[in-house]
Parts: sequence; structure tokens; C-alpha cells
Amino acid sequence: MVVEIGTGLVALAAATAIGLSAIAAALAEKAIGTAAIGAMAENENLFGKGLILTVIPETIVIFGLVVAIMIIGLAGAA
Amino acid sequence: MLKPKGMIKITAVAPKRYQSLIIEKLYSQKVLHIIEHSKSMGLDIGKPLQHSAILSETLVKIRSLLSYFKGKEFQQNAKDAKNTNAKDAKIKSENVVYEFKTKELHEEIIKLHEQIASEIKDYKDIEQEIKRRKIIASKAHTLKNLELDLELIGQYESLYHYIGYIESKEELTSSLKSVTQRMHVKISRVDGKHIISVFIDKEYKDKVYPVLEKHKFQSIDFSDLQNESQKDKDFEKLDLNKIQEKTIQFENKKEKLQQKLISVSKKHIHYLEHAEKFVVRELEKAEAPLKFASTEETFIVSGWVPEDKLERTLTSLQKITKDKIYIEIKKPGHHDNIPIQFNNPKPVKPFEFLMELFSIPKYTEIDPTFFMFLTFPLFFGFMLGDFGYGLITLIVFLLMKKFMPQFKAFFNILIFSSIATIFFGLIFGEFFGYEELAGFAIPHLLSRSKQIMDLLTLSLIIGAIHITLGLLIGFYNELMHHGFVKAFMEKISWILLEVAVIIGYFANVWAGVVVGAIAIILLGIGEGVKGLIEIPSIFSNILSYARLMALGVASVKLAEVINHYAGQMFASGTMGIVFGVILLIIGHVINIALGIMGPFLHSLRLHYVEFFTKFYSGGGTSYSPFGREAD
Repeated sequence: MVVEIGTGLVALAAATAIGLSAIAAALAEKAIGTAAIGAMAENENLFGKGLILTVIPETIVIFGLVVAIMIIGLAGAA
Repeated sequence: MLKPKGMIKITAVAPKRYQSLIIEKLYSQKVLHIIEHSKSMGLDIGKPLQHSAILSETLVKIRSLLSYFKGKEFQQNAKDAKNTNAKDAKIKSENVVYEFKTKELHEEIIKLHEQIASEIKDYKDIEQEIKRRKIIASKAHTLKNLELDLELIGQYESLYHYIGYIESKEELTSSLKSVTQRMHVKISRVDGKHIISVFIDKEYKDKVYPVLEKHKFQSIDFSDLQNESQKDKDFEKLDLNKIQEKTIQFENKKEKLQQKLISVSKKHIHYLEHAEKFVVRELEKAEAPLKFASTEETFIVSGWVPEDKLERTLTSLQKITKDKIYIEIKKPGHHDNIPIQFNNPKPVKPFEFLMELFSIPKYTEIDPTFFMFLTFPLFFGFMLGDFGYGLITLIVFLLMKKFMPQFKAFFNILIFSSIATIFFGLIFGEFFGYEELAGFAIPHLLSRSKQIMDLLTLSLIIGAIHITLGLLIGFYNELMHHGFVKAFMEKISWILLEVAVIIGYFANVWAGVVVGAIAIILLGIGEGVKGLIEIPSIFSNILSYARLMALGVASVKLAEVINHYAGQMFASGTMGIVFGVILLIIGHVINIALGIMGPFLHSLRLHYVEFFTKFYSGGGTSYSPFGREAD
């Protein structure tokens, strides 16, 4: 299978967009998760709030995914 | 439906002689959410009923007995005991109804506690004794091994001795001999450790010790053995067999005591558990006056009653006191902390669980449980959206609900969500990730694997609608509290901002800019600087609904990958078919598990973070009427 260098670069750009944003989300969630578990150890009722706070940074990956899809879409259109 | 149940505040004043009657009545009715009286309000708080002291003593004893029964003395064969106990308990709890009377129970429990406490003490004493004998016996064993008698290790006038453990014996004898020739050394082994005894002239005492220390010498203290030998001939003679025999006798005794304790616990544990429940209930009643205000002759209790149960409560209280009660009725005011009882139709009820997980609404605001009921399964279904997956999760959750009735509410939510998944599975035309079966393309309105951009647009439109709905609810809440102008500027200006973007994109850029500017000015007046800083948040909130597309596409693509590789395996022969089936099963099980967890959390998050922030304040207290705990 022969792939044009341009196609490869587009794929790399899309992968970078989602990969880096996933790392960013992971770093953010790591800190929040630790704190949430700590808070839950003090007060079990905080489970709901902890869970929600923990998933908040997942938005970052979703933005990353949207950007990745748009990169592929725009490159495909061009 | 959109508001919690109406509450009425009642304050009742009655003579003290009716106090216990009224408490009994309120406890059985389970309607009054008592407002605790605090001393600062002028009147003193009431005194607990007479028998509360006896009750609390009984409770302490019962709990101490129960904790004994869960202690290690009763844990031998714990597993069999547990199994049979659980079975026995089930049978018994259905057949036996215990009748308790406070005073009799108190006496009985005190007696039982004394008896069992003394038995446990005997048991612990024996256990201690066995431990002590074992330590001494091992020392006797050491001496015997070194071929020494007890008399030999006493005090001498001119001799000194070292007895103890060493780590190695290499070159020890020779280096000892280099200190002095006049010595008696014996080295032996006990339980894999070297032991040594050295007898020397007293003058070499300090010179020998450093040599021993090089070999990590640890001296053994025989004083307890010497003491014991004065009482027990066997120890004096170092008769190991007899010592062992006696220890075994002790152990048999311990075993017997333990068996006895286990049978006692089996006999009483069920009775005690019932008694505990009874006493807890009685104690709650007896201590109720602590929440009341009291004067010399009367007491005052106030609390919240649901509107629909008010009539019944009032008449029953008047009846038992023969009208010697004064009751004041008040509508809730602005500063009251009014307890919340959800008021939702049956299908919506399970979703109250998700509200409790977050925060209970305030009495004056809209209870969003109904909106959760509408949109939560919708979002979940949109993300999972596969006919086959929906069927499987539906069956799994129906079964789980049957086997774990305590989580009924939770599983009901997931059952609604599974039905929504099946529905969206039909719209997307997906069956376990396949969009065509045996060459026949499943009809669909929208293909998730091919029309990703359309799916993204649809997600964002859903997001804009959901957020606008949130803003409208917020508008209503503000309207009720702060009037039209404030509500308009705080909430409608956000909607105007959304409209501005739509106008700017589809119609005329400049018209959009004008509308947007008006919206921003209104917002600035309504919410101040905070609102202006928050402006981008409404767009990031709407963008956040892109997860509806993202999770869905991820789930489809994973399913497609599994199907693709399984298909290749199927083509490669018999073994390929076997592995292909295994791959299909494992792959789809993992994908379904992810597909339950992800959409559940993200659907929840879209509600909590994006939706609720537009109107919800929460922080209400839950309605818990006096007597509710008993169930």
C-alpha cells in the first residue's frame, strides 16, 4: 500500500491532536481523582460530586477528537 | 411533578401527661419531620422519658454481646458457621416473632451478658495460660538439649555462665579457647537455631562476652522457668513429655470452652439482633423529648407535615389527647429550611436517585427529576445506540434487578436507558456493530460510522436545545424569586447570545453582531463582570455535547474492528472459526462494559455540569419523618 506523504502528515496531525489532548486530560484527571478519593475517605456522600469532578476534564479529549475529525475532514475536502 | 410535595409547619402544645402517647402515635404515623428545638429559643429542651436510661444500658450490653459473637473466639469454622447460620436465620426470621418488654429484656440481657462475659474471660485466661506454658516449655526444651539441669544454671561463687542463641558456630570454640582453657562449652541446635552454653571462671566473664557478641549472642532469661519449677514438678525435672501432655489437656479445655461459646452464640445471636432493633426503636421514642421544647407542665413539638397528610395527623392527635392539645398551622415562609419530599409519578421515581447523588433541590425551585427522566436515557441511548447491545443490556439489567432488589432504582434507570439504546440502534441501523447482515443492509436514518460530521452537527444541536431548556427553567426560577426584569437579563440574554450566533451564521453577519451586542450588554447589567467572563462558557458547554457523537463513534469503531478481525479468522478454516467466535464474545463483552460505563457517566455529567449549572442551586434537606428509620 503506497500512501502519499501528504496523507501521512494529515493522519499524524489528527493523531497528535487527539493524543496530546488525551494526555492532558489524563494529567488533569489524575490530580482530581486523587483529591476526590481523599475527600470520599472523609465523607462517603461526596461520591457523586467526586465522580462528576473527575470526569470534567474529559471534555478536553472530546475537543481533541473534534479537532482531529475536522483536520481529516478539511484535508479530505482539499 | 416539577415541584416537591407541599409542606405545612405545625406546632403542637400539649400537657406532659400525653407526651408518651403522642410520641407513640407520631412514631407509628411516620409523617412528622421534627424540627429540633434549640435552647437558644428561650424554652428549655425536654427530658428523655423515664425508661431511656434502662434502654440505653440494654443497648450497650446487646451491642457488646453482638461484638463478642463476631470476635475471634467464635470464628472457628467461621465459614460453615456462616452458611448454616444464614440458612437458619432465614428460616427463623420467618417463623419466630419475638415479643419484648423493656424491663424484662433489660434483666435478661444483663444476666446473659454477665454469664457470657465470664465465660469469655475463662476462655481468654486459658488461652493466656497456654501461651505462657508454651514459652516456658520451649525454654525447658533448650536446657534439655544443652544437657543441663535447672540447678546448674543458678548463681555460683566462682563460676559464670552464658546461655543463649548464636547465629553461627564457626571458629567459636577456638576463639573462646584462646581466652581461657578452663571452660565448658556445649553447642546444640533447637528449631533450626544454634544455642550455646558456656561455663567459665568469673574473672573471664568480661573477656568472653565480646567473643560471643561477635557471633550475635542473645542471652535467654530462665527466671520464669525457675519460678514455674517451684510450683510444678514436671518443670523442675524438665520432663518434656509430661509438660506436653498437660499443655494438651489445657488445649482440650480451651477447645471445649470455644465449642460452648459457639453454640451459645448460635442460640442467641438471632434473638439479640431482634432485641437490638427493638431497643433502638424504643430508645428513639424515649429520647424524642430531647427535640421538644418543654415547660413545667407542657411540651411543644414542631415540625413539617406533607399537605395531603395534614388533616389525618391533626384529627388523630386531637383524638388521642381528647382535644387537650393546641396546634398551630403555618404555611412555609421564605427563611424556613423546608424538607423536600419528591413528588414524582412512578416511572420518574428511580431518577430521584441521581438527584440524591448530586444534591437535593430546594423547596422553592423546580425539581428537575422529570427532565432527567426525559433526557438521561436519551443521551445514554444516543451514545451506545446499537440494537444488539441494547437487547443484551436490557436483559442483563432486568436479571440484575431481580437478584439485587436493593439497587432497584439504579437498575430501573439503566433499563430505561437500554430501551433508548434499542431505539437509537434502529435509527442508526446497527446490530453489534454490523450495518449489514448477510448482505442485507439494515435500514437506517443516520449511519454513525460514515456520517460523522452530520452526527457532530446533530449532537451540537441537541446540546443547544438542552442548554436552552436549562436556561428557560432558570428563567422560571428567577421569575418566581426576583421578578421578570432580573430573570430576563440573567437567563434570556444567554439565549439571545445563542440566537445571535445562529443569525450571524445563517442570515446576516452584521445583524448577528447587533443582537450579540445587545445580549452582552444585558448580560453585563444582569450578572455583572462575572457574567461577561463566563461568556465563552456557553459555547464550550454546547461543544461539550460533542461527546454524544464521540462516545458513539468510538463504540461503533471498536465493534467494527472486532467484527473485521473475527471475519478474517472465519475465512481461515475450522480453528479460525473457533478463535473468531471467542474473539467476538470477548470483544463485544468488553465493548458493552465500556459502553455502559462511558455513556452512563457522560450522560450524567452532561446533566450535572452543563444542564444544572443553568438553573439549579440545590442543597435542600431530605424529608425524614420521625419513625422512618425503623423500617
